[in-house]
Amino acid sequence: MSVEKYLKPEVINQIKRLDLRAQFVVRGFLHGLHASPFHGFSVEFSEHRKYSPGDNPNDIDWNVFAKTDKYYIRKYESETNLTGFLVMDLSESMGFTFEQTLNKFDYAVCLAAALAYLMVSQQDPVGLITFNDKVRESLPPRSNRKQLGNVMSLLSKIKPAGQTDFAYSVGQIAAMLKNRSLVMIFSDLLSDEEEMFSALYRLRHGGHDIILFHILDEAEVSFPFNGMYEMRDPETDQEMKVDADGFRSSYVQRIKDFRDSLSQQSHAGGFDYVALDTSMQFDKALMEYLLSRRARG
Amino acid sequence: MAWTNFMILGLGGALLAVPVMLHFLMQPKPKRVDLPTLRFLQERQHSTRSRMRLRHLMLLLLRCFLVALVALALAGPAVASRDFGNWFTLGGIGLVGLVVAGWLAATFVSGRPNVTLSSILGAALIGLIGYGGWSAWNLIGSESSSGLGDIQAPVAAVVLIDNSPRMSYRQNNKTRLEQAQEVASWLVNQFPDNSRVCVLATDNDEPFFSVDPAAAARRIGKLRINHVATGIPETLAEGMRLLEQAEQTRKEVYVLTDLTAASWQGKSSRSLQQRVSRLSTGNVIVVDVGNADTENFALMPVELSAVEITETGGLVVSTDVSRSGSAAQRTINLSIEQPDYARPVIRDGRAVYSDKFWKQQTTVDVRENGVASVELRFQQNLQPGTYHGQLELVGSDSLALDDVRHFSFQVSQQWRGLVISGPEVSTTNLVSTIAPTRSVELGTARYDCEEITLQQFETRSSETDADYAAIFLLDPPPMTDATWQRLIEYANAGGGVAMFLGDNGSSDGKVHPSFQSDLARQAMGFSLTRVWRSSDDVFLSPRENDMAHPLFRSFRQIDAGIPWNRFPVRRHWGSEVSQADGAKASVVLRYSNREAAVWEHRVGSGRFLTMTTPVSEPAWSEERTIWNDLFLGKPLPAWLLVRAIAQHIVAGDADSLNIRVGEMASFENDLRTWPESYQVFTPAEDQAPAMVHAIDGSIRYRFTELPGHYRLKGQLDGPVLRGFSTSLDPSATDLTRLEPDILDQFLGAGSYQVVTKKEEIKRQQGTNRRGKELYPLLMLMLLIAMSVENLISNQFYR
Repeated sequence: MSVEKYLKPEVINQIKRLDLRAQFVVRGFLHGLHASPFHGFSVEFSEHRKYSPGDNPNDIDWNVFAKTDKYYIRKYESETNLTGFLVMDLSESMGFTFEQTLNKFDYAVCLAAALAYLMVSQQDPVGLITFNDKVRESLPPRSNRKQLGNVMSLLSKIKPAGQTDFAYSVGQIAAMLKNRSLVMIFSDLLSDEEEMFSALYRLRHGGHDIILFHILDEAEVSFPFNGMYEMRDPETDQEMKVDADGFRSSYVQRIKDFRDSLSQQSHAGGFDYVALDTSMQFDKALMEYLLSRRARG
Repeated sequence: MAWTNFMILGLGGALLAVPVMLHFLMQPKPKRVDLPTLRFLQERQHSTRSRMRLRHLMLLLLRCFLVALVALALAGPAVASRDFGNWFTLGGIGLVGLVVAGWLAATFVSGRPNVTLSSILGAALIGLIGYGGWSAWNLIGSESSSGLGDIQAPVAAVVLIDNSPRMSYRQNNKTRLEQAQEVASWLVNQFPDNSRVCVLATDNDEPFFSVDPAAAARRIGKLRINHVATGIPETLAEGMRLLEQAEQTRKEVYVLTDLTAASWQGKSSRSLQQRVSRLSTGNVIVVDVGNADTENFALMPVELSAVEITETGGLVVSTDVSRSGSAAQRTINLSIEQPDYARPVIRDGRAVYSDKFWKQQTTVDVRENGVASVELRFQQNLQPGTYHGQLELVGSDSLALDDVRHFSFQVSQQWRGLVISGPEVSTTNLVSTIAPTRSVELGTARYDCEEITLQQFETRSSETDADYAAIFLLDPPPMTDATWQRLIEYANAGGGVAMFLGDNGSSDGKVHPSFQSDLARQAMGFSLTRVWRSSDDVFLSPRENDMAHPLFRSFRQIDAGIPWNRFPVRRHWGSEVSQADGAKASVVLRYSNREAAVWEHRVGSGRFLTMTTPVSEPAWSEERTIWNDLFLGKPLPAWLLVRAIAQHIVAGDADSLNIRVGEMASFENDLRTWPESYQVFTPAEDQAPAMVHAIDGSIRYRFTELPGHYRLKGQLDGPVLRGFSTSLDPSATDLTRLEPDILDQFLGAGSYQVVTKKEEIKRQQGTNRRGKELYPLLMLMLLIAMSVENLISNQFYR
């Protein structure tokens, strides 16, 4: 168990600092990987070699120097760099939770932080973009340690608010990105499907890889309500009286259809779709990233 | 349908408004939650909202149903027991109808109705509604006459108490009749005020309603065992007839019986069943005061070897002892009374009878539920007169009535018989049968026979005829009208004539005109037709019914063992009764070809018996065919038959000496030899003697309700004693229990209740008067409805 417990949302929720959350999630993930086919994967340095002039002095392993009094640098299996963009949906619907530890937004933030940590650890440049009805903030991609602090700082500050315009925002993002990048979108994708995917297709045609992290609250997936409810859409403020028991089966089926539809369209567009809910461990998302990275490496 | 608190039903109806008001005014507010995926719900908003409305409506209906159920239960509905099943079925139909209607509503609301299935179910629903309405209409109509409702409303009731001899069976120190009386008295006190009660017993009395309960109770208290009780079905039919005339709506029948098979004998009366079915189910209550495990010894009716014997003759008294229960041994006493002309007399208000002068005792072992035969012989030189005797089981048992059997017999002087034979006709067979040589020598022969020819008879003075008790005519040749007239006069005066026709009666193979004359037919009571010829396949063949005739008294015990077919009858006279014969004779015995063998004709005070084949045939003849082999070999049947005929023609009335209780006793009473009137001393010692007078030459007495000796005392040149005995029919004390289906045959299956205890009667009365209460059923439905309501409302408002 040990550090793997940090992959659980309810455990990670007990840690307040986002950088620590990210660190623990990644450690838990990597610990799990040692016993997996991903052992020796490029996220870790695989061996040391002697420092030679021209190497980045930042790569010198000072622990080895302390033990051997010689300069060694960590040699990574993958030497290619992947520019990643963490794209956060800030819409108010992302702030929803029903009797859960983490709401969708917290879950997304935590996941994004962990990914940022992982990417920076691999010296991959990582940037951050937030949007709701339009792009709100962005951090250009960097691979240094300072960038990690910046990302964490921004992730800590942002709050879900307002309505979303996914298609418009993704269009803006497509216009912003100059180099081929890995765009990781964290959203509940509660927008018009057609518009949403036409924007994503455009982004994909721009040469970018996309991982679509579709995050829903556990209650949104399983519909655990019983009896009569008056339900409100937090973004549109529409209300409806609902006999939850009468709705459950059809709703659950509808959500499944919705996810299947997203998955099919993603596959058709050549990008990855990861269906998540707030009760799931973080490793699924991280693994998806690694698989994507390996495919590109 | 009856209601305990009808007002509550109205109140309940008003309270139905409460759930409706609550439904509209106090609908609980649903919980508020945010759900970003609301748009997926909105897509299905229409159908779901309809469903929600339906569920709300269902909940409202359910709550109304709950209130209605509570009101119904508190109103205390009750239905007639016989209709309970129908109401239950109706409830089931209603429930099915509701389910179907609910399903139809749901499919229509969902907007996706299956047209075919919905059409079928719709048609089924209409059918159910129609059938349910029709059934309910019929039920309400049929219940209007059930008289349900107020338990204290007056009733018209028949309380029938079985007072047959079987009810004297003693159990738990009480007779069954006493138990029945106790229950009946209690019942009478239970009836509501102003009820009309008819107390009825199985004694053939006209049913009537007692003026008040006290009179009914008095009548119950006065009931005694009736030895000539009628059957319960017959009495009940009379009671039901009276009950139908009563103005009370509520009618009840109570039959207190020991449920023995003998009590419920009779024709299965369809009208009785119909009458019972017109009452509400359970309003006929059969109170069983009997039990299946009985312990009893019973003496069957006595069989006497002869009812009339000569002074030196002996008597064999035989009977069967039957046992209900385990094997046991009992002693039986036979005693004969000494004729005493000074008795019976009334002393201190009680009759004093003659002493018993002769007693004999024997012991018998009877196996479990078995029967043992007993035979006691009595041999004594006696003076002529009527003697009374009794067989008695020593010791007591539960049913005393069948522990003693009474009998009477007559002792007469030796009878003088005149045997008249045709030419060359042997009298040996007849004479040796009715007056065997050995008996003549010992002086114990019944008959003292004188043998003459017909010619001698015709030349003798008719004045001497009165000296003979009987005249026997053996194969007589044609007789003159004067002879026929003489024989008729002889019989008229009380003499017995036995004529055995044979070959001499024919003329060229036809009936001689002498036997076809008016006087001949007047004497015989029938006409001869022709001679019947047959091979060896015709023989005397008495039927079972024939055995009841007194002629066959001595045959009864050995009936099955008599080899009649070994004694063929090849020739016999054909005979018939025509209008011209005037007074008709009756056939006593037939041949196997169903032709008459023995005719009996009552002529005045005497009898004229004719046998259509002779008893004087030789064993072999060259000249003609032998008419029969009746006296060939060991002729036991012919011997018994001839003795019986000889006995019967002189002692025919002796049959009246032993009769069943309730039968009329009848005696010839020629005023030349008997008194004109008699005092009758019945077996009831404390009963004053009644007077009977001779009418038309005979004494008739019909008040023979008690078993025992009836002694007739008259005066004619000194005291004259006559008498007879009565005994119970074996069925009167037969304790065999009734098969349940027999009761169904009389009362109709399911139309009555059998109870044994007062508590059961009370419960049944309650059910009958109030009806079968639906309260438990309604409470069960209420419980189920509350559970469903709780389930549904929890889903709505948790």
